Amino acid sequence: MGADQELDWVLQARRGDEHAFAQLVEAYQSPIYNLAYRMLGSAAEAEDATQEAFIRVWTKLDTYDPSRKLSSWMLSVASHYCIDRLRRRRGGQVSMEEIMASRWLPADDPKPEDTTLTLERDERVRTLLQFLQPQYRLVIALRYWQDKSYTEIAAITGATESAVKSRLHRARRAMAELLAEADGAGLPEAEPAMYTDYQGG
Amino acid sequence: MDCDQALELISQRLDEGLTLAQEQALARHLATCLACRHIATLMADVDAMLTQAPAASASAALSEAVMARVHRRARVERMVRRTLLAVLSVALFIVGVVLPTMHAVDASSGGNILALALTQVGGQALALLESLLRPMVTLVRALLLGDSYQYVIAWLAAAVLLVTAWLGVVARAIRPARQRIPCPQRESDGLV
Repeated sequence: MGADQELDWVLQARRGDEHAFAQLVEAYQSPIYNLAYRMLGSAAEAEDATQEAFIRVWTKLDTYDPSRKLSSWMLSVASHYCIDRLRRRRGGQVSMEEIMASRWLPADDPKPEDTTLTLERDERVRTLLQFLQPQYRLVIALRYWQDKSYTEIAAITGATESAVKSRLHRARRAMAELLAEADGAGLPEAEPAMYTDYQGG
Repeated sequence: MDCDQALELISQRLDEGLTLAQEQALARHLATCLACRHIATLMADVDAMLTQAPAASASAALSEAVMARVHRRARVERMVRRTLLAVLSVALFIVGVVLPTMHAVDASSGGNILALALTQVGGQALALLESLLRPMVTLVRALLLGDSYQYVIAWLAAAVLLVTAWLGVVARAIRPARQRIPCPQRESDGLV
């Protein structure tokens, strides 16, 4: 799919052409759903957020600047919506027991071993991400599941490249500390954790 | 190099690699710092875990659900736009045609029949409107009851306001579908 074709769809959708917008939905539902899933941690919430994000895209199409990459703009709209949603959310904190449980799932799962391992990995990642503040979750999701560069993440989040680099570093470090804590080993150098449980503020 | 700098380099190495000088400096630090070596190992574990985690798959019905909501939204938008256009058109007709005609008739009859009728029949309604929307009422009063100078000013203000709003709604409704927007720096999109 070329950028020219996408721009045609955008221009037609701006005029109210739903068929053209359906093409955009088809092309971008996967990346937007993935971002929402990693941000919100639940398939049902991610589906709802994806729908809401596309409604926002539909209503904001007039504000799209074609000098920006369409994928970056769409992910930016979706990420803002997910962060708004997380801010409205109260509670939903994850306990250390959940992390422990997600690291050692029972081995008597009837599914094939590789499927079980995949599910285990996914569950572990999902649980760990819930510990991170939204802006850290966002850079991790964009880096690992959207394969975005520092520059692209900066364009999507509105942060500087150095802030993106710093957030990625802090997010990884927080997750490393969480894993170490879950193992009960602790870290040789005790430092204050940056991964405060999200308080809805 | 202190531990904070070393840890930032460890993270950066996972994304885009390091220069030779950075690699050497980091290696020297890691050779002497047990804590950073430990965190480097954990970060590598986290990186591997995130890299191997599968992308989530949306349900097959997601795009249909999205389009159903978009369709409902678009229908409401169209209805609002048509209603707005109709209301503005009627208002424009009243201000542009009806009011000048009535004023002309009123002036030629030499009396103040219109003002009298409006004062008696619409007095209470105008008082209520005035309390709710004083600036607008001033405009309407000047339009309906004002002498020639006030009337002309108020009429011009109302006409400009309505024509602008009407053109705005119409322009949105009839915008050409395939008009190209110049985008000199557009790059090809890399979809996931």
